[in-house]
Amino acid sequence: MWNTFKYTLLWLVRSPGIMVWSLLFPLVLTSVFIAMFGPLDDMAQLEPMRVVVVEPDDSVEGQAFKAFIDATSEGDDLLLDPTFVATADEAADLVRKNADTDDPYIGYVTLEQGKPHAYVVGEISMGGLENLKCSILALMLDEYTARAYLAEELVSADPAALADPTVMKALFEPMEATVQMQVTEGQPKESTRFYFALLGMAALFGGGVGLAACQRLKGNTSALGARRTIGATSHARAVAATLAASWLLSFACLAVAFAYMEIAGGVSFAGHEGACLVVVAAASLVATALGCALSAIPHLPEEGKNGILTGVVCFASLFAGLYGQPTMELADTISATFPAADIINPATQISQAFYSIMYYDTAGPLAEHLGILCVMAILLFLVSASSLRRQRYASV
Amino acid sequence: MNIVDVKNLVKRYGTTLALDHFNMEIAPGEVFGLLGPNGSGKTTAINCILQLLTYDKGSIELFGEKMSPTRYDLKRCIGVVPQNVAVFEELTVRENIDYFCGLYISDAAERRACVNDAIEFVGLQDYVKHRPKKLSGGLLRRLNIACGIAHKPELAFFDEPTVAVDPQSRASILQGITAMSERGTTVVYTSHYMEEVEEICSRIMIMDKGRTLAIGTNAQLKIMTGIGERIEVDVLELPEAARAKVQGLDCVQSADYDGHVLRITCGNGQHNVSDVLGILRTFDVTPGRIWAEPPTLNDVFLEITGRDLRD
Amino acid sequence: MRVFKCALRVMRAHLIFPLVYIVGLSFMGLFMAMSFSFGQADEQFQPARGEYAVVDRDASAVSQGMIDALSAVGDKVEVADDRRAFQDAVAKGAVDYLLVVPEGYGDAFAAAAREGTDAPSLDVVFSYYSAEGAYLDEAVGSYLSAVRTILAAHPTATLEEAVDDALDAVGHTAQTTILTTDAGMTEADRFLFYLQWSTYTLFAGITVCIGVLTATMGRTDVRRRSLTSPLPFISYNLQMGLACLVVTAFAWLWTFAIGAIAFPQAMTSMTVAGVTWCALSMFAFCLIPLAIGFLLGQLSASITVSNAVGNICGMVISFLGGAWVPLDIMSPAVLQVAQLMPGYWYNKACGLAAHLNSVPTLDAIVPILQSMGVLLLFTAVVLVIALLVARMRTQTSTAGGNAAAHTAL
Repeated sequence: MWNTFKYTLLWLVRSPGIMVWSLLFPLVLTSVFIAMFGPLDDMAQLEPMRVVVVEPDDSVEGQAFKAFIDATSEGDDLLLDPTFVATADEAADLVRKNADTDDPYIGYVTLEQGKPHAYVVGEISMGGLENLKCSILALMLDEYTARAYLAEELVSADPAALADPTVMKALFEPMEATVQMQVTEGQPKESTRFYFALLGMAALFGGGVGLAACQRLKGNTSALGARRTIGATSHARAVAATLAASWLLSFACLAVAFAYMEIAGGVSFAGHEGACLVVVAAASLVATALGCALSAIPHLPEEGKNGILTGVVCFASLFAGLYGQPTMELADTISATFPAADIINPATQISQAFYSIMYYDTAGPLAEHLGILCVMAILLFLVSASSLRRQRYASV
Repeated sequence: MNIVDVKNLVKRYGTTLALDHFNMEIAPGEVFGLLGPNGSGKTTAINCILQLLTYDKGSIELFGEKMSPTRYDLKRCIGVVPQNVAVFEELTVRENIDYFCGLYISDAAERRACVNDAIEFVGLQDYVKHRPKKLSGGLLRRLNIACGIAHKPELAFFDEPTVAVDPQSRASILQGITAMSERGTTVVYTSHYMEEVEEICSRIMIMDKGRTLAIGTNAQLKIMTGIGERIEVDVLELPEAARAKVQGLDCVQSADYDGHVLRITCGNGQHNVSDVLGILRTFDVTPGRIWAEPPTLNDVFLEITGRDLRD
Repeated sequence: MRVFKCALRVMRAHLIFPLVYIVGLSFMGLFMAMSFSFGQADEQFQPARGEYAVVDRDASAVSQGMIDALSAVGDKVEVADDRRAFQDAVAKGAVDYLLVVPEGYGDAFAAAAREGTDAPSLDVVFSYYSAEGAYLDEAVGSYLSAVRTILAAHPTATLEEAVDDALDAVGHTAQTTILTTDAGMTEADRFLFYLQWSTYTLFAGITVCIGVLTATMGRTDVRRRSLTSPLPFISYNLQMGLACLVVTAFAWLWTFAIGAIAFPQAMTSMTVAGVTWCALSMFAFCLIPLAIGFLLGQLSASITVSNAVGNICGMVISFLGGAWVPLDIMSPAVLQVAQLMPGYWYNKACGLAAHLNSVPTLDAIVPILQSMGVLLLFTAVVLVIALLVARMRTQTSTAGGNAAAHTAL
């Protein structure tokens, strides 16, 4: 058994095709992710919105509005990046001219009869942030309008109240009403999700290891398989050793990728490394089982089974939202419409297991997903059991 | 007790009958030659014996016990050298032999000795760190053999082990098999090279269409088929009457003359050449070169299985 | 044309590859592009809405007012008052914004407002899409700010009155108008996204299929036969090239056609010239994986290796083409690298082509041609490398020699 395990591991490690999938694939994608998200985390805050502002006049309203714009475009967490112009026509021109550049304006703001009016570009975003920037701008102006209305009311009802510093402070000072709370201790960064997606997808693609290993175990797929089948080692032990070796290799490669993420990429898993590796291990197990199950398809050459594996993994990952921001919405839609699809999709279970680490401080939800993954692995192994148990064939 | 005892084995591939009530008995220490044209069922028979193939009917006993896929104790005593080279391309020569030997012997020290013996046995000492891709055809075949016999089996199956091998390698392979046999290993050997079988096999079975056509020692088979020597006589002119007289001899099966050479096929006989020469002398024909060849296994094989091309 | 016909037969024997990689994977892009719901570019501005939950332990007028204020900008979701439920709601993306109002908050808030001290803070939890959370947070801030002002100004007002007035005040909103800059082609953009995502599936699919074809045809023994035949080397390669081109053309036509069928509104909103140039750009892109697959075949890469290379390159290219994460949120350094990748030029060509007039001027066509030229340059470079490798390989041991000895695996 140890012999089979050792040599299975050895030949798998020496197969370029296998190692490209299990090691190179996660490493290359991790490198790309690091290059892309490294800078992204630094600017995780919403960037200030570029907006054109028509220079208000010197009226009371105008001055107040100018003060408001200044307040929102100063300080640390500035919201607006204003460009001042003299007239509304100029503002509209500037917005139009910059519409197709890399640095467009979201629109322009002007004061009409003392009330702010926003003219925004109808925004079509792919990222689910549809209309959001415009909405935030609109909301800011709403806030301003509401405040102006309040001030007006106060002036008409009780002009003296405005002299009260408490009222003035209440009216004009920004209010820190809320504090962002984290539901788990040490929450990883937003971009960590993409690394989770990567690990999940890479783990599933690692099913190719199990597939290749199982193919070479069967008496009817090759002369090599036949030779191994007639050997004097118990078949069950050979199968167990082969699967263990495949799993270990997939897991080890992913662990290397994981270490690479954390050490070279500086990705922080916020002290949840152990839990993450457990999920990786479970994911590799399901992937090995998946490869094993696919190898049970009769009358199909190994390459064909590999093709099917790729197809299955791609679609499972797609529906689990592992292909970036746009697919995450698709995944949300699917899980809302067909909740059952989540349970049978290993990619979903893997990504949700990872998210459980992020969002729960109890082990319950993680254990639940790990449990489902294990059941999945067992079912897949059972599917392939009759094919793997087989030692005699009608033809070889 | 027979080492191999196959009775009434029937194996069908769909509608094709691959083995038709096939029987085979092999005694301990024999080098048993299994001959037959392509597609005659040799490999199928071996695969059934090894429990790699299901079969429809019949019984297979090895070492006096019923064989089944899980009789690992019996499998441990068997070595197989398959027709195709079946090794891991990713593993080196030593690793391959060690792996396959490990399927039979789990004790590491014992295995190391066996692997070393096997490497020496096939003469691959200089190539232990090579991967199969780097080996020539002959070396590859030798590796294939080493993987099958490293665990020193009591019963070894060699399925055409000398295909695509140079004469030197072939001689060494045959020598090795003889040596194994001398150490007491029972060998089942299939090949299309009749002279090899003639050289090393103590008993030969000729099969076709899944059935045994003939079985016996080399000499027994020749007698069985009634094939004697072939005689060729160079003569410049041969009267038809002389040819007819030769043809009329009891021992002669056929006599053809093409204007230069008289070709005679004989049955079993004691003094065929002198009988023929006697007749030629009575017709005053002076023969040039006279050439007589004793019958070969090849002749026996063609006689038994027919000379028509196979599909 | 023997080689050509034979190559197509080989491809037919490996039909599973085009089926899985070209036909199957093309649906990925369809699903994704279809799942987008684009805001209609109405005349009327529709503010974004988020999903919020308020865990109200206070049940005061202030907290009730908060819910009313939030309802103007979002939809309420019920979440139970325990930590696990909070975690569930956020983990499953059920809410964008979760607000916890502690007991006694209303009174504490009122007292602070009247005295001019800092108001007690509220705990909020943002979901993944924290932008929506920040948006909803603004609405709460605006409302509370109004309540604070009223309470400060009218010390005698009850909490209920203050809340009512505050809600009235926040009901006064600024006007927002959509500028009709050319942002009306939402359906065309959907199709453009499909084209953008296709970089992945096309790249993986074509690389793998061509890899399978060249690997099978280039198997040592088969290849040796072809090389020793009187067929000129150039003719052999041309016929192989033609066969590869047929496979690529199939991938291109299929991918473009199902996109066109799935998004008829996009088709009708685009001009014939626009659609044509989009299709041409896609074809120019398809030639790159063709060249890569050919190169892999020359390197006698196994099907597994082709598969992996196609997938990895496809992902990287689509990623740097902005199909995973919008490129505009990437750093300038990444953008610079992206411009060195074919995906960028392909997207640029398609983006330009999609907005072509029915009778495009030369000025409009030239930038598209330039982008396509860059794509063709990529192809040319890879092809030259592939042909060099092919030349070198005719003299190496893999063209014959010991590797020709059959080892069964």
